[in-house]
Amino acid sequence: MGASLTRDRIAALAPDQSALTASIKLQKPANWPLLGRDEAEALLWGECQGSGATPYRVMADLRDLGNKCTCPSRKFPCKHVLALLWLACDQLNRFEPGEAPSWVGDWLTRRRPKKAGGESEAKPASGPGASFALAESAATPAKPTDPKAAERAETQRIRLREEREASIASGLDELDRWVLDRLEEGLANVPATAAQTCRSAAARLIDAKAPGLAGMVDELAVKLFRVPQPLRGGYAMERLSAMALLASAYRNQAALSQGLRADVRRLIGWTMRREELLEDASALRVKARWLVVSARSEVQPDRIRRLETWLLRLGERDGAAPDFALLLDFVPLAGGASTPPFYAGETFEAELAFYPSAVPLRALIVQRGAGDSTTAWAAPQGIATALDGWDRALAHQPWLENWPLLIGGVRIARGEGNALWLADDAGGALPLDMAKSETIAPLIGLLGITAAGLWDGRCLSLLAADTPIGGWYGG
Amino acid sequence: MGANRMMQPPSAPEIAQLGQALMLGTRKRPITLPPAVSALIPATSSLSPAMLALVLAGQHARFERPAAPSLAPALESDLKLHADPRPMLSDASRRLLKQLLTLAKGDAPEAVLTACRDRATARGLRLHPFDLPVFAPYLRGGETQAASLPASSGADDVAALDAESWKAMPPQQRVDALRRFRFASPDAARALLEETFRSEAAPDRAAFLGVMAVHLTAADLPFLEAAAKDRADAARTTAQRLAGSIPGTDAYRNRLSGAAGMFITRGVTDEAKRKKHLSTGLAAMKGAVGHSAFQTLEGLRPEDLAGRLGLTLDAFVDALPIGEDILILPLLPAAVAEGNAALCAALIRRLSGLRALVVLWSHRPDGLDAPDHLRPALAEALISLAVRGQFPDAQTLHTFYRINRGPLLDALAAKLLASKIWRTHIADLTAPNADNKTPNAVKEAALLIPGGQLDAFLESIAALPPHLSLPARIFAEFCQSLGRTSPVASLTQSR
Repeated sequence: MGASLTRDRIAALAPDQSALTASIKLQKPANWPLLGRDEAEALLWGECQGSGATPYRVMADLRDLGNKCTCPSRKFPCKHVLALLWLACDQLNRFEPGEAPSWVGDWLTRRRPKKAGGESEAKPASGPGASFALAESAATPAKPTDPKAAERAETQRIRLREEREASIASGLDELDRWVLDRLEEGLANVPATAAQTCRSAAARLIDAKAPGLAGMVDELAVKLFRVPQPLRGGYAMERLSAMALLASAYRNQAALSQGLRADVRRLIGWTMRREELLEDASALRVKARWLVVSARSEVQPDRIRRLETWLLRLGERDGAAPDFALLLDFVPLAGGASTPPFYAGETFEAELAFYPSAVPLRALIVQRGAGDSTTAWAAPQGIATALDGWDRALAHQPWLENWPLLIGGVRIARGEGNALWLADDAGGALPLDMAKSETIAPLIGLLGITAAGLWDGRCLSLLAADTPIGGWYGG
Repeated sequence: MGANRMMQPPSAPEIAQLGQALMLGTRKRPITLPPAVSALIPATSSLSPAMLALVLAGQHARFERPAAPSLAPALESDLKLHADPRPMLSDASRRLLKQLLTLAKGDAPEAVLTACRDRATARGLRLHPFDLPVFAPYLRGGETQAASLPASSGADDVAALDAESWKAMPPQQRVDALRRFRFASPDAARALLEETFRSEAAPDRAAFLGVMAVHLTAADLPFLEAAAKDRADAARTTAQRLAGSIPGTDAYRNRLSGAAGMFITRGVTDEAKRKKHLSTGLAAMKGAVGHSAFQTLEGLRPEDLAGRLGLTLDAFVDALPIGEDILILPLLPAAVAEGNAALCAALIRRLSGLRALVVLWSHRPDGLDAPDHLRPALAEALISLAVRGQFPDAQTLHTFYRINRGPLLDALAAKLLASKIWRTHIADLTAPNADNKTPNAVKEAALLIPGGQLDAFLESIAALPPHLSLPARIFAEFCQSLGRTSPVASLTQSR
């Protein structure tokens, strides 16, 4: 049952070090008057004696590591859940096999909706998006079964959609005017005024119900200051160009391919629910062995934590399926998981469903199999080949901010000012993100590296590398 | 029209001109689209020329590729990491090491991680270079360098020690090498230190001078007298202490008189065994008085003190009051410096318990730095002392580990694991009302267990709940993984 439950996975789940340490101290038998498991349903449960009179009820679904505890902690998962998982990992014999108590069943019913026959339907494992996506689906009101109510709801939905479309159209017109104002003043002046003008333009786009585009505008001021001063005007040109092109593409979306239209609508701010993707028969699905090349988290300006897991498809690169997949989740900053429930270097079989896109990348795990040992990565050789891939992706989807590259036959070298570069024997070189220079340094001197990294057109953020002395994972 | 688009794309200079105009602002330089660009625009386009220019120039820029830089060859320091011929830890061992760090963070992970590094080194392995940025901050003794460079090969190499090779070592290895050299060849070791002394850093000067306690003779006096005028307080104090510990000098004789005065001979009270009993009345004294007594006695040779009291060495040791650690501890470093295993064991037998090591460590951390050949005898005496008392606490075990500089020999570890105090300790920890505040004692005990006894150790702690045993178990699994999993070959091996 707990075959995939490892110490590494539990450590990766912990929201912080103190929760992990506290969970280890919670494992003494006296704390757990009840421990149970259901092999068939892959369930664990237990009662943990806290400071109060009533023990906390702790439960976990091993299919996707979904979990719940009745304690008031704002950490997720709390120390009680972590302790339950530790115990299952190290002392499974302490869990009494049997049927889950009703409180576990209640929880399970909420997270695994019943099939028509009354049987609990297992939700597909969802990777890092599990907790958030499930919360989202739980928050969605149940569809009314009354045909008249359903008709009223559909009419309401269509009306809201039309109102939003009209609002977005007006917001795009305002954006055009704002961009033209910037062009009149000159792009060289944009960095100096961006902090003020971007904020107000973003606010208007929020009002226009185009949150994706609003985020793009709002981020510009911050991103400009991450670019070296002499390059800021050029960067402003690229970003404003992307915004103007996006506005134009949205107005002409009927002429776009299905994938590109999905990209454009997503970038404007429309979302696709997890369930919709899973029900979409036309969605690209890829069954393969995947290697976790990076599992990282980042706090967004809106105080939401963005959890990213980058997967590399192992095996032959035939061009028929994406080389990379991105599992993306958003959790609240307070109390949400702090890291994706994966660790870099982990390998597993899985079927992924990709969100529709001109260049499919973001995905969900539909079905996950067992892990196995990593093999060498097959990769196209040289930087020029990898950049050709970037060019192709950009040509298909011009709003890409970064794109995963897989580059074989490279090395890390020092350039002017001790800057680090990814270089190949043909004279190609890509500047590396210096924020990671300390961890990248041990790669210097190794030849024949295969590197996986995120390229934004200026700088490569190295995620992982396959080297003659083993795998390197940098975040 | 379509053919025109394919045949006459806007040229790079045309796009560059558009970019310049956009930078300056359309108010200053209105946009005029070049014909090649105009030809690309669909008739239905509602975009203004300025917007079109922005989209075109902006998108064009995204396809630009970075200019090729001039790259420098790798630095020698970069290549050093991969020049080490020792194989690296296997992936399994690396994973366990990371688990240990995860568990031990916030709980002083230095000891256990350094122990892991040392176990790997002892097996001819090294930490993986990719892990060094993560682990180096937690490793004692030489940090990254010690973790990645070949360790000193031991006693055999000191014969060839010269100033150049000695200075090339990491700091802690330099102290160890000098001590081994001093044991083997006292005058040559002093000459080596004299040669480099002035160019050493202040903290290192004090540490190196401390090594001169080994086989201290009058020949060392001129060097120590010169060092007693050192700028650094620590070096000056050490040199003065050692100068006052050289047998045959006036200072030594004066210290000996003062020290002998501390003892009260209570006559022949045990007629049957014809033994004398000594007392100082210091047993209950602590703090400043204890420290003063330590200073009075340290560095004095036990046989000189015995002679001053009119006793043979054996009679003197037998007469020392058992458990009066403040008298016995200062004599131990001198016994260690002489390499006298029997005397060390006899003195240790009269200590109150293993906890005394913590007191000694607080006064003189290098006091029990014994040469390799003496360390097993010391450890045996200390284990014999330990098993007859209470189970040592974590701090005591940790001090013992540092003094022993590694795990116990198999027989001694077996003795510890089979001892009543170990079994009682484990039973106490598993009792329902156990005091669970000292889980580290098990982890610290794990560090002392050699490879051959790890199975027995794991078996002995099998009943412990994970919160008391997990770090110890992972440490043991790490040590076992060193022998059971295939290490990663070094580049220098595989080339």
